[in-house]
Amino acid sequence: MLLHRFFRHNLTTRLIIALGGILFLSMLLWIFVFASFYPGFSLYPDLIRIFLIGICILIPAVILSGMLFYKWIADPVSRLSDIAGMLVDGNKIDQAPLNSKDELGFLGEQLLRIEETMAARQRFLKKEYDEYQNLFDLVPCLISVQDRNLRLIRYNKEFAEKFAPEPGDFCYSVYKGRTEKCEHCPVEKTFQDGQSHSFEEAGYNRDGEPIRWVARTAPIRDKKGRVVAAVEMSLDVTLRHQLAEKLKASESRYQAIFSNIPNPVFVLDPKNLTILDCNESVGPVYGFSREDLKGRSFLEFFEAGEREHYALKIKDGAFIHQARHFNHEGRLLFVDIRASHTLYSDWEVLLVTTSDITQQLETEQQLIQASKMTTLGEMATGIAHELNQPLSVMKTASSFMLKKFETDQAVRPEVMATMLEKIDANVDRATNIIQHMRAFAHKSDLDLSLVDINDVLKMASDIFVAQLKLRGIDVLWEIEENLPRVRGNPSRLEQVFINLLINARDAIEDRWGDKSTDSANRSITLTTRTERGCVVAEVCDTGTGIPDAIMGKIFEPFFTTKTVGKGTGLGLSISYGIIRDCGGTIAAANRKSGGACFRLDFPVPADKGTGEPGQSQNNLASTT
Amino acid sequence: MAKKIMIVDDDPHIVKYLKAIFEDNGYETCSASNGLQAYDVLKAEKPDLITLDLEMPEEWGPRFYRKYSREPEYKSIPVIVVSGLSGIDHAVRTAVAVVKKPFEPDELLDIVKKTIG
Repeated sequence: MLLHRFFRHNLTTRLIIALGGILFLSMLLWIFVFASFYPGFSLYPDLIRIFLIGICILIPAVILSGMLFYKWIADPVSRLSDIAGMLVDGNKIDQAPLNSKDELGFLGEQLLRIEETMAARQRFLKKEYDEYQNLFDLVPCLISVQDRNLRLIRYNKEFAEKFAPEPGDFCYSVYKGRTEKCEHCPVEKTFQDGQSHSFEEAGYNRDGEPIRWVARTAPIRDKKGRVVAAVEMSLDVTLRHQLAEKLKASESRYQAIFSNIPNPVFVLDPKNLTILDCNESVGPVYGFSREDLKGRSFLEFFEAGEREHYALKIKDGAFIHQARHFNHEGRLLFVDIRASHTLYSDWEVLLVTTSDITQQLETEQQLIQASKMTTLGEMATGIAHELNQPLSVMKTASSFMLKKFETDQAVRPEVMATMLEKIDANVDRATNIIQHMRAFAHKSDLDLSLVDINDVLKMASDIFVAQLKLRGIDVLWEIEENLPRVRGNPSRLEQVFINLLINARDAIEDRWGDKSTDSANRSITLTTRTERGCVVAEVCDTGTGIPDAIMGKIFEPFFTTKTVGKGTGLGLSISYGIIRDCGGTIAAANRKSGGACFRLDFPVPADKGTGEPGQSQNNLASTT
Repeated sequence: MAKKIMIVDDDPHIVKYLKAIFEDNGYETCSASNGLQAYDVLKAEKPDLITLDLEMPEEWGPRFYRKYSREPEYKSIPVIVVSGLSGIDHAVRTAVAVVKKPFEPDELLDIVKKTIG
């Protein structure tokens, strides 16, 4: 029992008690030793006395060694034990627990080092933990960790800011304000099968606003591999979804526009001109359905011989005027084609629109014809004069012959021959005039051929020059011979020049009255020359000139300065159209000396031998 | 009277989460985020059970345990270690159970129910 108590004390106390006991015992022994030396008190034999003396010497030695043991071993061990306790409590040790350089001192240093190492490791772990925590918090998506009952265990900053939840709240109440779990819960699935699940869902947030998110779940397992939690990562895609919806709406709007543009629109592969897509207007114009055309070549609309020529032009993105297309039934259409390179759903494509101008050409044709009839009326005086000449010759000859017959006079054969020759020649002359008239009045076609502008100008003035002479107007010629031929329609060009001559005549008469004594004031100058690859023809007069205010309008249809009934206002606009169709230009200017000057430029074609492909043989008249 | 559980953890998420679980199961709760604070709360609240995290700033779990377990008034309060640290099963010698984070909430509740009813 005593022993048991003794061992309940710590090492130092035990040592002190033990040393105290030993000291007490040694005191007793010394008493016995001294007593044995006392005479008459000889209790022991000498041998025992010696033994006692020995013990008495030994006891101080033991006490001494006990004290040394306490100083060098028990006390340091006790201090080391305290340090170890501090280590367990996680306290910091400021200095080496022992100053000695023996093994215990070394042990103390090692403890200090252990503490330092642990602290360093702890700092490192704390830093790592903070970093991961930071990472978890700052990931720009919603992250939550949930338990089997769908309670939130933890969540990141974005989640906290968006939903302001509390740990322990249920996922469904935080996300959707529900009181019970959702029907299809991916977190629950993850708990069931230990797999990741993703899903996209639409709903309403706590404020009742529609939201949409995509989410993915993953299991969190304990040491035994059991799924004890699930992490759910979701991304709010409301904005993206809204944008996608807007894009979709915008796309369908543009699709609707694309489909319903009245002109056919084709999306072509820029390499081989295969039709990738086209709009609904293709149907009424070409008679093909959209599906029929996809995958076919755009060039199939052209005649076989023209395809190569047009392929190059379309690929260049050039504007093509009045090309010939054939529809599903093989009917000829005249179309204007515009092509441009563009991006279509990130592909480089050729966007091609065609405008069916067949109807327009027919109308133009009719207008030209109407205008021609007007011109013809204007020409009537001149024609009458022209016809009068041969008629009077024939009348003179025939009257002469008749008179001879009536008076039974013989006509000498050579005179007879001369008379008949005159009659014959003048019949030819009259026939020529009439043929010219008929040729002019004939509805002309769209053919373009190579013409000499001088010839056309002469033809136009031939029929008109007599009339001008009657009105005292001189026609002056300044012509360059051997002009290169240009592309045009002779009959139409003649109409243009006649129009210009009529306008010149009217302008001169407006300025100088019906008659003037000075012929220098009443002249029309016809000039032709070549200039920078063009044939230039000018019709200049000495008339009133064109007021600046209307200079920009003179080529507009139905614009006229003439009194009602005298002009249709179509002459110049039709002339403009005809010259444009030849690839030329027409412009007006005033002369410094007074009067107007119309200048027509015709480009000299590079390939002088041939015209536009196909346009030399077919004509609009044949298609209507 | 409802039994009271003291939650000692430096992670406020875990504190709130455990509170939610315990309170939903009819327990009262109190909490502390480190050993020093826990000692004050312990004296004030006198809980019936302690869930103790080990790794905490200020004063870590084992020290708090050593401190209160010397006092006869508190030394019989059952303690459940709830920690993410591994290899510390003997840091709290008299612990009823050591629950490793992450844990199954029902498992923890089972232990609590068995211990304090």
